[in-house]
Amino acid sequence: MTDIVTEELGKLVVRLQGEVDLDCSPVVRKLLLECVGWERDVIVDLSAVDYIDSSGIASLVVALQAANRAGAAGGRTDRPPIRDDANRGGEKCGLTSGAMRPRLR
Amino acid sequence: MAKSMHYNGTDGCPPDLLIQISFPSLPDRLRLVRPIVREGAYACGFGCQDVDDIVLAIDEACANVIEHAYAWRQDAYAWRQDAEIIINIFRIERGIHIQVRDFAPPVSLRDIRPRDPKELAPGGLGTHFIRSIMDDTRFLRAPEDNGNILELTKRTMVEA
Repeated sequence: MTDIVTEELGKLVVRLQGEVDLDCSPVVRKLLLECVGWERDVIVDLSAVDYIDSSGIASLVVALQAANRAGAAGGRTDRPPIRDDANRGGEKCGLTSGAMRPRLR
Repeated sequence: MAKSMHYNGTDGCPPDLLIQISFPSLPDRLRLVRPIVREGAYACGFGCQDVDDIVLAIDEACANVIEHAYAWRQDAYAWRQDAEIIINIFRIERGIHIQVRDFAPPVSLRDIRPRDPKELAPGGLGTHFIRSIMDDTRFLRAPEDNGNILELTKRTMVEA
């Protein structure tokens, strides 16, 4: 798994790539919580993720909850397109049809 | 010689052990296990989507063993290095049967309940995935309480 964090129009964009499983989900969780702590909008781009398991999804949920707690306007999820060949772990809890965007205002 | 984990097959057909994998209970081993499970599922006649699902189910089962059955300092992500997981993949008539064996202290069934995926909270999703993907799941105590065995079965679609 690799990650790239960029700043685009004042928002932090976290692009994850490869497989997000039990081995690397703690790293993803730490990275996302750090980004949420910077008090900017945070967009998590999962379009290059080939595989995600429940620990990866849990990391996204923890980050979203942190954004919800910290943000005056609360967090929300948007669902832009995601690669068709990504695995179906996210779909089973409503995520495969799009990336999750924990959003902090 | 494969380590013994009895399975009598279904519908009177003898089980066909495709492969037995033994690996240390470490998170970074999961990426090595997934391709083997994938090939096993293809060999049992499943299509791409079912194969992806089966890989996810077995990955989740192993992750549960690593994280919950064997983990001794979960908060620090310090994993036991002396623990072993064994996976047996059987080809059965119209399907696949997989056993995931650990040697951890017996796990209570109360600890492996799935949760509603609509509930926005981490934890419990893996068990939900396993049960929604596989047709049969059985959780057994290993002989002499020496670990736990998760038996998972999925059948290929049969046209009417």
